[in-house]
Amino acid sequence: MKDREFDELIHKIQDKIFAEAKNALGNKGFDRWRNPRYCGVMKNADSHARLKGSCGDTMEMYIRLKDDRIEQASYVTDGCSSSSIAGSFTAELALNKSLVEVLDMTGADVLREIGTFPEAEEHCAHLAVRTLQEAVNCYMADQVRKEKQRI
Amino acid sequence: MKIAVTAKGTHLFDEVDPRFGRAPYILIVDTDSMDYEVLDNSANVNAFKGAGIQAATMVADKGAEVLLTGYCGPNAFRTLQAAEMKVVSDVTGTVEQVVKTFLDGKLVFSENANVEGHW
Repeated sequence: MKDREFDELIHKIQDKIFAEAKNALGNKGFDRWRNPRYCGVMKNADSHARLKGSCGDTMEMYIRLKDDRIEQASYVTDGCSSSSIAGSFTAELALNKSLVEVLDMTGADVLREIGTFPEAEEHCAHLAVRTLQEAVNCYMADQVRKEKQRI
Repeated sequence: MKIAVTAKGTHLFDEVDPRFGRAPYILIVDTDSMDYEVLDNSANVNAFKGAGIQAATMVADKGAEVLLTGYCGPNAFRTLQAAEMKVVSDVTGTVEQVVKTFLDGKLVFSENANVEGHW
């Protein structure tokens, strides 16, 4: 196949992928996939957690707190678009929440926020929330440890 | 002949990563010398478009004739076919092991994708 034909085929497949993704994720999820907000390692994080889901995808969550509320949150994943979208919306939903409010969050909250999401990929939202809550747990355990050292 | 192998690390003794589009590394192994080039696949993983077809284009550009991997979706498979590359799916072991197994003629080329499309 000539280079030009090959490039045309790639564009055609890419357009098909975008059409399928838009259909499965809705405009809101699709836009977030293409422009993933809150994505990246946070260098000055107060806490961090990393979990691997049953699907093999790894999710990482970073949080920074101010006055016991989430001031910044970010995610990193090696997973597919569903993991990325779930991580992004989970980080967004966590903002300005207290630690207790974060521990009350569920995957269903994230799925509701995204709107349209493939049923087979819903586990990604649960993994993202579990990872966020693990980061909060690590932070709380660290605070207890520091308190004990002070006494 | 050059063979592309999806890998969890950057060495021949590292395990094959079963995910084609989302493997952290792809090793391009020259079967005559067993010299190899390491391709960092993270740019494709984070391309937020179609990781499989990006990775397929990358390995085709490197002149690889065969891909050894675990899972290959329909879009990546079609791209590899268009680039006249052959695919062997469901491969497990270290990169070195699977290349040797392939050279011994013990692996069968796949005729189709072995997983559904995934973005």
